[in-house]
Amino acid sequence: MTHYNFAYLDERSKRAIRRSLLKAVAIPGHQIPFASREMPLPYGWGTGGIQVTASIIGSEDVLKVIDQGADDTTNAVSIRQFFESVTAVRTTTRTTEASIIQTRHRIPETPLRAGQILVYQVPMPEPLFKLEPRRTETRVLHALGDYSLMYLQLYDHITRYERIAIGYDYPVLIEGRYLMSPSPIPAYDVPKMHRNPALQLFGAGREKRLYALPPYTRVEPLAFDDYPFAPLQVDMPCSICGATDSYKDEIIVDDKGKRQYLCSDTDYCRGRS
Amino acid sequence: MDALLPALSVRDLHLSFGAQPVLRGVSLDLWPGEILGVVGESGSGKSTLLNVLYGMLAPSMGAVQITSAEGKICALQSLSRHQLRQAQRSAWGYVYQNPRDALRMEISAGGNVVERLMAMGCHHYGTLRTEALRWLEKVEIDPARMDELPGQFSGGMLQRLQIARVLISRPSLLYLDEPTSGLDVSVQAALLDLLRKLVVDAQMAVVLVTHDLAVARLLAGRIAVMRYGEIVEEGLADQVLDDPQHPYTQLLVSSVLPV
Repeated sequence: MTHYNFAYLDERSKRAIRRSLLKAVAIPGHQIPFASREMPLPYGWGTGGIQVTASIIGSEDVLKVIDQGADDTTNAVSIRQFFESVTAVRTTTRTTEASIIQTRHRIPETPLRAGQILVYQVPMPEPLFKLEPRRTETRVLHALGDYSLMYLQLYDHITRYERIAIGYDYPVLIEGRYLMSPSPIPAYDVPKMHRNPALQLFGAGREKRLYALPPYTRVEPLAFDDYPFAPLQVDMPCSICGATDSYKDEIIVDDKGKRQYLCSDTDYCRGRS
Repeated sequence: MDALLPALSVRDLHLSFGAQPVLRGVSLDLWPGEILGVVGESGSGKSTLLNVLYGMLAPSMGAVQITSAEGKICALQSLSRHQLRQAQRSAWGYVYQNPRDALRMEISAGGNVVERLMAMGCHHYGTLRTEALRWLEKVEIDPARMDELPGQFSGGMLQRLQIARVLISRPSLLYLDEPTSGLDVSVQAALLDLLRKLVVDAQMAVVLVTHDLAVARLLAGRIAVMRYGEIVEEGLADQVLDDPQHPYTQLLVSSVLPV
């Protein structure tokens, strides 16, 4: 398609976003405001992630797009086709072959390697927003490193549910400094962020924020000394590949409550069976 | 540590809201372990004074000097925002007239009590739990209600909850802004009793703002009378209330309704 510039955005827009990304990489976990562009899809469908991918992708890159771990869901297919039509880069479903992986809600099971880039689509970049609605105030709290508000939330979770009942978007502390939303990935995936050799970039289109984790960044889930981070995980093997070490989707297969568990990462599952 | 240093020393404080002067040359000293009552009618600048002392408002002129518990002297205006926030969350305490202004109504009572400890770096649930229990007992709230939301508490309990939440960090400077108004008389008396016990035990320096002379007499050792942003009279509590010198103080004392 020749009607659009390479990767849809014009060069100046891409450069502006890359400048913000550089700032984000320089201050791991800190949210950088950026001039989020209008994209040809609605907010909430991955506009932030697409802008990040568009501004870093080159003709040599190999792109993989996943939505909830799967390559074949509507969102993933549309975004992949979008980049095929505006960049003509090679796309793949194989985690190991991709140089850029744009993701919504999952981190691939296959460990990433140095040189790969993981781009997250982020609906709400502010980890404190449910506790403190004022942006001006959350900025002060980040500046002062005052995260007792989040600990207060965890305290009440243990009091009420006897565990920290946060299943996704689990708050993490970056290099002991900034509190960060890992985007709505399951808590199960959070340990994969820690000291990951890949570059991790986060884009929130509607909220107009970018943030990043350079390779090998320290990522610690917030927890209490006597109630350590302990994500729940189904104790069932995948009914296709038999994997016990992957994150599962639960599928109800009849009207009698019979259920099946499948790897949520389709590429990982295919690679095993 | 020099025992003769005042915990708080205020010199010639001025503040205007637009053309309206609110504080006009306020000076006072507060010693460790002392309770100073600031009385006066509404609009006389009492609460504004507290806000300035707590670092929530910057004065247009004048100096506030604070001696920390470790004996370090610092000027309020020289503190960075970071230092100020830290002091506000541990070394100083502020008790609001309306406890709902200070409490987090969507967090359990226990959580409210231990928030300062978490801000000071305690991240051990068991420890926080024991501390919450201990302080709820100190302010005479039934520990069985620790996990309830503050919304289910009565007004007097809310105020006691707020006091536990502030005192848990053992502040050396405590500001009380009308802590008992809005409570019924029997609850007031119990609360004042409790406050006096806690504050005297911990040797805190306290500024108590109130328009209720009876509250001031019960708690404060020394009283300053404010009018139009100025301190018009200052002295020992009994002396000021029994033998007022300034005409305004005389008016104030004589206007208390007899029982």
